[in-house]
Amino acid sequence: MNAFVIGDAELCIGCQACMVACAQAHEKMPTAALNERETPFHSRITVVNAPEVTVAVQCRHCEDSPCARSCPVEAIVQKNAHIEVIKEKCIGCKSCVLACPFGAIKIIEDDMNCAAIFISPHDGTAHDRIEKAHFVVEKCDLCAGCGSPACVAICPAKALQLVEPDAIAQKIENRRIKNANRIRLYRSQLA
Amino acid sequence: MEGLSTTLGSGAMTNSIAELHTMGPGDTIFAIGTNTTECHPIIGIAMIKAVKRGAKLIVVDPRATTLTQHADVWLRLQPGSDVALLNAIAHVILQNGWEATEYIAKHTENFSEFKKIAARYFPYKAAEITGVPATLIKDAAKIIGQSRNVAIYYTMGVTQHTSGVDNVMAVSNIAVLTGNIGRAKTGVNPLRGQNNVQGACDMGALPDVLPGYQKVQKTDVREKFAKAWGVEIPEEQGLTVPSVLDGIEKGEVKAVYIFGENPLRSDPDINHVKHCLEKVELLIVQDIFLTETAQIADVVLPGAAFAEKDGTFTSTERRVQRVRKAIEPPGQCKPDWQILSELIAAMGYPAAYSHPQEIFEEMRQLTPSYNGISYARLENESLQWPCPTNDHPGTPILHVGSSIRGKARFVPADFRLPAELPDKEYPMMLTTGRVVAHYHTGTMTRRCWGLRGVAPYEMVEIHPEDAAALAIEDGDQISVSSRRGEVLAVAKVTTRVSPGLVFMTFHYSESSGNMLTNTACDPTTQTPELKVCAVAVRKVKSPGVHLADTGFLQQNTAPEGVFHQPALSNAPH
Repeated sequence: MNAFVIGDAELCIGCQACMVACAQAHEKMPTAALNERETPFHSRITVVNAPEVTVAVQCRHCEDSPCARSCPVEAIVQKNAHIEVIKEKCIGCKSCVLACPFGAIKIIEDDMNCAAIFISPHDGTAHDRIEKAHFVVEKCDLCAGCGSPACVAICPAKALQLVEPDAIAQKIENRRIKNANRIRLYRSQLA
Repeated sequence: MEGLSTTLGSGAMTNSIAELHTMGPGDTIFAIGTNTTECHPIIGIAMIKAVKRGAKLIVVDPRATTLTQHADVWLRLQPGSDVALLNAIAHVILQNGWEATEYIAKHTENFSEFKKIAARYFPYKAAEITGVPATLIKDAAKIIGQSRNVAIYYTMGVTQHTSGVDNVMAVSNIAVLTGNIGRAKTGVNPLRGQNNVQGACDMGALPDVLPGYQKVQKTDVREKFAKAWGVEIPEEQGLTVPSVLDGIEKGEVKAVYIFGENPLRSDPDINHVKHCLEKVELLIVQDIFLTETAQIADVVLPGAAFAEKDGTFTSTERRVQRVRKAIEPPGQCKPDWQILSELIAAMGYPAAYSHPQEIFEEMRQLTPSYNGISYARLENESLQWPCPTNDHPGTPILHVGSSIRGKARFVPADFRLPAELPDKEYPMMLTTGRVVAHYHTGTMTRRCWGLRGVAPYEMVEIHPEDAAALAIEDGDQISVSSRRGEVLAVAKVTTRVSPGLVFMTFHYSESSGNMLTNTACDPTTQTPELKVCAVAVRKVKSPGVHLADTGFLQQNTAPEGVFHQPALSNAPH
């Protein structure tokens, strides 16, 4: 079963520290270098700061991943206990973006390590091929490979938690016991 | 500062932040004019947790914020109508006998005058002025009147009005009326917007006081400082910021020395500020970055950042905290105390300090409220002033027993309209504020990769109805103009603001809300009315396929050279 990070709207203050931590965790350079190189900022978690609600939203790593099923090139795969995008395989078709019910998949401009895509313009004027921006998709990978999720670690309001399969099993068990006790009390009251 | 000094005898936050951690059922948080979760996130977290434990929350704000989402009662008032709202709350409290009769009799004065004024503010009348339904006013009054403890928190939403002092005193009146003073989990708590704004005020960075709010008009005060410093202390008050600008225009002020402040973005009506600062004969700016203000200075003095200096900061809850140098200042940069020390030495005053501790020692000998605080004690203790003696434990709660001025004073005021209201030419109202990622004029935060990343450019909040009438869609480039200037920014269509209201920040140099704001001031404190002015909005450009394609974002996302001026450690001096 997949793990996932979930936000609590009763605690989130919308500070966006999770977004900064996420973006930084997925860059290899120190922040001073990111500044100097004008590295684009990409966060895989987004704070929804609507008039009615404030909470961070990101990938739920669904078991029946509509994103992976809609991907025509198998760029979205199950890896260990999470769903991962293989950026190199992504063709930027956006099917997964449409399929995701959480809005957790983002389209980002990829520099492809400075390689370029050239395409013929259809304006009938010239045969010259023009350089085109390259877009791929990106989403939460639970910081796989860098230990625990950076967003959970940074959250000052403790509004984010990593839900792991064991924890779910434990929670279900606890609720069963709680309910069983409720039934017992109810029965004793009846008696 | 002025309002609370008049009513209670001290302008500082009365209580301590940690009390929020103990609030629960029976306690009420009354937050007015404060977007706490964005502007004071740690205090915001504590508020939300207290609400989760069962404390009640009343929020007064014209805008939907994270705090309003958690409120039991949200009073969505017209900006600038605070006095009418607070008087009406007092009216309902008095009508129902929820006032603290015994406390009022023993510890207050001028109650009968206050009663007279409050009696006129019927909720239905206040509803017409404030736009808040009378039933909600009654609900809020009931919660305030019947709670065991009510802690009031406020910030610039209360003070940055032409009626700022009246607003503060109206807030104070509610606390005094209900006896919510001098106990834990109560009080009137202005949250300071910066790490050391309380400390700066404490040290006399106000026109009429020496350190510790000792009035410069008092002969004994002047004599004490004259004796310690060996110089004569001038009797007349200094100037407020607006009067400095006036003085420049009249040719009376010849030199201005600004440090740690960027008035060319943080003061209202930037065009006017620029005109004045360009006109002044000598402009000295001391800062850690070459701010917009420093760029027009005659002399720039490179200061040190927080991690590059020793000293103390005094937080919003009057807590004096030791700051320790972690790294050396780069290049020619020096800590502020050293620059000032060298400057006064160059001007012929032999002040030779080798460490801020010596300055602190001198200061505490002259400042009764800081007298018991020393660097030695700060090693192991965390002290809140007043702390008059070396064995005094500090004061987490002010006005215990009775208020500092003796009796807490009711100062009633009538509602006054803001200075500039929407009209035919400028049909919308602008209110200004902040976003969580940025600090003030963005001098520091816009140089941080992550903070810049989450909030890269100004987003003007506008209600869907207004947007539709102006054919503006979310993400469109719009122009916002007032009698004082015009800025371009991106529209954020949202019900966060009411119809007729737009919201902007002053973080973004290229689209600063302060190009538009009004210099009209509170008559007592000269605090400008940054929260209300009249503007016109029009659409400039649709975002098209991709915002970046318009060229707008590239041109406008950062102050010039931001990325080529590396952060703190390499200040460009």
